Amino acid sequence: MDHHNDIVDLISSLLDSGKYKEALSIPYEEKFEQSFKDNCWDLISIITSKIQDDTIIIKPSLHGACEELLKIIVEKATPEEALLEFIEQLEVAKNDSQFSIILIPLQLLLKKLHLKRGRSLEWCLNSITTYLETIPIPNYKLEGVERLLIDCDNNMRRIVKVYSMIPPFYKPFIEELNKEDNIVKTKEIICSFLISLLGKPMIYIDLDPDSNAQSEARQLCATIIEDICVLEKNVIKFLTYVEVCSRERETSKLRKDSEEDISPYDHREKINMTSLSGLFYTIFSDHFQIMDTAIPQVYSNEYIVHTTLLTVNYLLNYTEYGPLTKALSLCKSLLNRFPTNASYVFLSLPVHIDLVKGLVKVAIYSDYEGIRKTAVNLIGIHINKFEYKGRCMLIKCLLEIANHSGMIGYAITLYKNSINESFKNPVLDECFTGAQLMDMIKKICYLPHGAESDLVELADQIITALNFLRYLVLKDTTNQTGIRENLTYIETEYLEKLRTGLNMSKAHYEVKLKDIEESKSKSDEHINVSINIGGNVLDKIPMENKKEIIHSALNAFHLIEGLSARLSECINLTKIKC
Amino acid sequence: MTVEEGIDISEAGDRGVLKKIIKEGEGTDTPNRGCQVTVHYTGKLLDGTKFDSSKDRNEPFEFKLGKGTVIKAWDIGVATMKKGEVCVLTCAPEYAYGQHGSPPKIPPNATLQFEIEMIDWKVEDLSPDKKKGILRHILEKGAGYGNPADGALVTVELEGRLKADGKVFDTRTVTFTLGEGSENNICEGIEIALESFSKDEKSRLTIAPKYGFKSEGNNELGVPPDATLEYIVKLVSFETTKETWSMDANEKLEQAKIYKERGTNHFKNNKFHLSIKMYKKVDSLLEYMLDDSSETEEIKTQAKELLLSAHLNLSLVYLKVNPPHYFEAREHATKALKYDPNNVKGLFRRGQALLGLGEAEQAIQDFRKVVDAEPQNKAAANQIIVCQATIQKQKRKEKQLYANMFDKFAKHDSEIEKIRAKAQVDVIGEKVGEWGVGEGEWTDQQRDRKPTEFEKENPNILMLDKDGQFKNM
Repeated sequence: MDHHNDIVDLISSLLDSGKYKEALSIPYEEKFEQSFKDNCWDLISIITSKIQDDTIIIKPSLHGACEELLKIIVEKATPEEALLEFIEQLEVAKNDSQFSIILIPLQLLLKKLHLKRGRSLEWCLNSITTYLETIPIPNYKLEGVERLLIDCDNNMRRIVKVYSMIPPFYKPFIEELNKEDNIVKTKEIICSFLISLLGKPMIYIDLDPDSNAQSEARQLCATIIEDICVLEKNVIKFLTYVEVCSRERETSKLRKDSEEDISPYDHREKINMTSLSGLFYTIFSDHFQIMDTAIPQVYSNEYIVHTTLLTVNYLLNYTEYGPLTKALSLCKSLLNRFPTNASYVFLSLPVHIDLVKGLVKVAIYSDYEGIRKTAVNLIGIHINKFEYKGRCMLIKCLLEIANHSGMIGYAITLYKNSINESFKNPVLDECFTGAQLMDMIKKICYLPHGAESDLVELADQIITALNFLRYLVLKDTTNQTGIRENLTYIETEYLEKLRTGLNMSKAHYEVKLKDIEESKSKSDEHINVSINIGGNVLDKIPMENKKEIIHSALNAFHLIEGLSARLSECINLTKIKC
Repeated sequence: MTVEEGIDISEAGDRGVLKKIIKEGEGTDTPNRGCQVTVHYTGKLLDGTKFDSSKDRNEPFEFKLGKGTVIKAWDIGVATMKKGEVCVLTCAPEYAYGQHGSPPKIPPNATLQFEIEMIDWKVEDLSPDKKKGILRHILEKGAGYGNPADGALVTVELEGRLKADGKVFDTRTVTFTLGEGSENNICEGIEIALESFSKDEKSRLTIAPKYGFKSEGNNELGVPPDATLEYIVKLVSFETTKETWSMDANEKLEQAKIYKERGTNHFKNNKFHLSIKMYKKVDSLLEYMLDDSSETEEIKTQAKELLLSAHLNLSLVYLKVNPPHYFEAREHATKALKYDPNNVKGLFRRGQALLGLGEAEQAIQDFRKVVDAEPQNKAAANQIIVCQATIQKQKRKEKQLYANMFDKFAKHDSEIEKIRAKAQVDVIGEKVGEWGVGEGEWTDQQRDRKPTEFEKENPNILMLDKDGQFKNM
């Protein structure tokens, strides 16, 4: 027993004292040979523990010696035993250099274990994943060019570094596969690992070529997707897994399979919505070159779009920049693929509604301005892909789910543009006439509390609604839409209430303004004026800003007043003409 | 039509898909919808440019037939191919990538030519472990998109027979919740399969014992242990998670029917709150439909019927919950009567609710209407009696109230009288012979006495006390 510990201690102290040559000679000395072989297990952990992140720079010869020793161990030890210890070390590696120094002997070992590799390879790849997961993901709220700074973040650099070590590790195994007859299982093991690499943490990293075309992360990602295409010649077949995974997520139910022998593609820790989203982002976002043959030209566009949108919807649930920007780029190129004038029948697929919901959420609540703007833009593109009936349905959906006046205003604008488009056709589309139009007008001209509604909060909606109505009254000179039958409703139910509301609000805000001005003149009296705008109590706001806010509110009132007066005028003119 | 181009196999006969057989296949079998088909293909543009080939991937191409995963021309064309057949399909752009093409390889409005070799196909296997535990053979294609999800209420027509001897053991139309089929003797295999059915789809399912009734069999249905089953299943309707505004009138009606059904089931199982929720969904789905002038009369009639029964049932459920919600019950019964003013159930339930609210007078009117419509309706007749009794009781209560009221007034008056009397000079003195307090006269004491319980209940009965005097009323 003593003898055993001897050799471990001996090598350890030799390495510590810088006697690398002697350390390296020990395995070849006859008296140590057996003992070395028996103690490989302990030696692996001792040797790796010598490595620090800066070892390779400060003590390159120590690093070299350790590398060499590990190689010798691979040669001498029982492969199965050493493999287990290496895998263990990989998972508990304390720094990236330790991780890196283990990968080389591990690869050698796997090559040796040629015949019974399947499982061992899977374990190795799993422990690489485990190590990757320990690196924290940087999350900075930066936008535009500033995002380039993230590349300098320490953790970001670690992620890139570790990722860059992985392809050299697995490449030989792919080459081997190509030489021999396809071993399906091994191929699937490597492929599912590669797909998982596109999930976390890669999903958080911005890979848009417009922001940083030469980034290392992008190049790594390109290598990975290339290798996936080499392994699985038809990458579109993973769309079936998207369907399966998204279904499981919805019902949050896994049909437990007792059999252990499931395909590597059914391992949810590898193939899941996150990794598949990463995969299809790389395939369809046009941000990466995909091998010519990898996408069979027989799949229908509808199938590709509808299924891939599931991953977009999944990514839209994130709040971080990386997944969101991926979701939006992917969404944009998918909508490009989608035929125009699509049938409203497609809307019975929940995926479209979910997309609108997801985009609305991002457009209103995202922290990043660029993301918000793109999302708004995509809502418009998506809706306009459909024929008029489908557009109306989606706009109704938008009016229903958006609790944001600006978003509702946007929906009204989309509706107006669609009507305008339809007017150019010889016959106005049926869904812009009669009861259907009225239904929409009721939704558009909506004051939640009648005359007492908060007009400041609703300003955007009211202004666009008034614009829309005026447009319609002026444009539809021949009453194709049947708007004239609805004019009374608009006047009594909307405009009158609006006027009452305006008068009340105006009076209210003018009094407030006066209050402020008075308190200003008698500044020492500290009159506490509290203003409630859009549900937020505004206190502790400098006097000037208070006034600004009130003035902007008053401006909005004036604008609404002007618009509504103009609308009434137009309505009256129309009535006279009739 | 030239032989060069082949025969038109498009359904519309618009020469969208032309097929020319190059090599005949074996037998007569062609793959069905849903089959996993394996082919080799080479696709070319009309000018001969090859844009894609499975041979370049050195791997045959697999896809599910008839599911819209591939371009239309393929779903139509491949379905006509026999095993081993090689043919050329010429596909018009409407049956391929349309006016946009599929950049970068396929230009807009491109006609495509595919040489396809049918290698083989497998019957669709829906079992999770892909060991041919549930095989589907689609007989009639369903309509639309979307499949029932776990937990949705589905209605199916099914016919089950034993694979071994063809004995039919189950024929019925059944409605159940997906995932709880075992309560209706529906085996797991059918439930798993239904999750990939579309509406109106009719399929033949071959189910291995593992997904059937296992080694136990099913005595009730007469299925022996370890039996392989063959079902013909048609999905008649199912509950979707679609939102109201995205449904057209017919879909709304269908969903409303399902909600009504669910509501009734919950009611039967005494889950009143769930039942209320379901009926209310019926209401919210349909309520605006009646005012919508764009709907047809037929649809409106159906909607009206559903609304009527939903409100009737709501009224019933509110009467059944503990404690009963009479107010809501009355509201919903009134709504139901709006649709059908002489509905007996509606009248009866509103009567009950009114009675519960203590409005017996109004209640009796409703019950009388019921009896007018159905003279033999005993329940209503009984309720009338109950109402009358209640009215009686109430009247008595009122009388007693008034009686006491007079009593109090009387007492009050007498006291004032006394005070006034005291104030006056007593000319006659305290006791003057027979005019003083004597026989035949009520003393103040006697007059102040409170009424007994009996008197309270029977204010109009006068009683003699033990002295033979009239008791104070």
